[in-house]
Amino acid sequence: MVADQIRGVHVVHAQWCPHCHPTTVEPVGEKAAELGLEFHDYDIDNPDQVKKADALIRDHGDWSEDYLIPQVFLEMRDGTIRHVLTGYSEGVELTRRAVANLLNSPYFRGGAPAR
Amino acid sequence: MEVARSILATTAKCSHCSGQAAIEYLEGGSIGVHVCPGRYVSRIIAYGNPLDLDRFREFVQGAVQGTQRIDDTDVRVASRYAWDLGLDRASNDLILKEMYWTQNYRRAKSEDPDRVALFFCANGDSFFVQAVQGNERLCSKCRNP
Ligand SMILES: [Zn+2]
Ligand SMILES: [Zn+2]
Repeated sequence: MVADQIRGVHVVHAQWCPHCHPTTVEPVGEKAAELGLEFHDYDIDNPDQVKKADALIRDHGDWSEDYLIPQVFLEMRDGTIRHVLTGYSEGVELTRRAVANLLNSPYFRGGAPAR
Repeated sequence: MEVARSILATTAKCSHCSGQAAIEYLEGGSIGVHVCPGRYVSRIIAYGNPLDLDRFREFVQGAVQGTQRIDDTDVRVASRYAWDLGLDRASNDLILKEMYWTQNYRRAKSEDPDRVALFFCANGDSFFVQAVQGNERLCSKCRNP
């Protein structure tokens, strides 16, 4: 898994959620732009976008009826979708740290983690 | 798993007293409870891989006794991986899953100052319920040994 295998990044969020804004959507969006990746965000309070959000989370993410946000997904060049992050109910500080960790991980750095 | 749990062991602001809720463990560490000095429970968390939603819901239902009905909607799930926990691991597989139940949240939210709420005994042995404003810090067994 290296950065050049990623085609795009998808984030499910809500405008009112401090785990989403400014904690997740902005830094992930900036990183995607920096790496030239497609960036898609789905607002769960937007009637059109929530359908895509629900499908993404039901098929690939941490699904529960009243699911947690934010959730971040990578779309790989081979078309597979990989769930990589869910917000931490323990507190915004943990979500902030997790986003920083994710953006510093081999996914976004270009080095391949051993698997 | 042990390392991951220690990363997750943060304190959180208590929603009922604005004090700090720290985490205490039950069931051999597979359950965490966010509890403030007044012993109000803000959150119950299950850790594991895999996790059993029915079992966790029943656990929370047992904790709140008959004071409310716990539905699937009241439980939220999250996957934690090496990369987002900040663990430098050779393997990037899933480290653990968490399930959360949050007291007085969304569907179950109430502003009634006399509502009955869930507390966790200061001796760490059991949950008990009392009015949200109540000052009791011990379960009934510990109060009347
Ligand atoms: Zn409190
Ligand atoms: Zn007790």
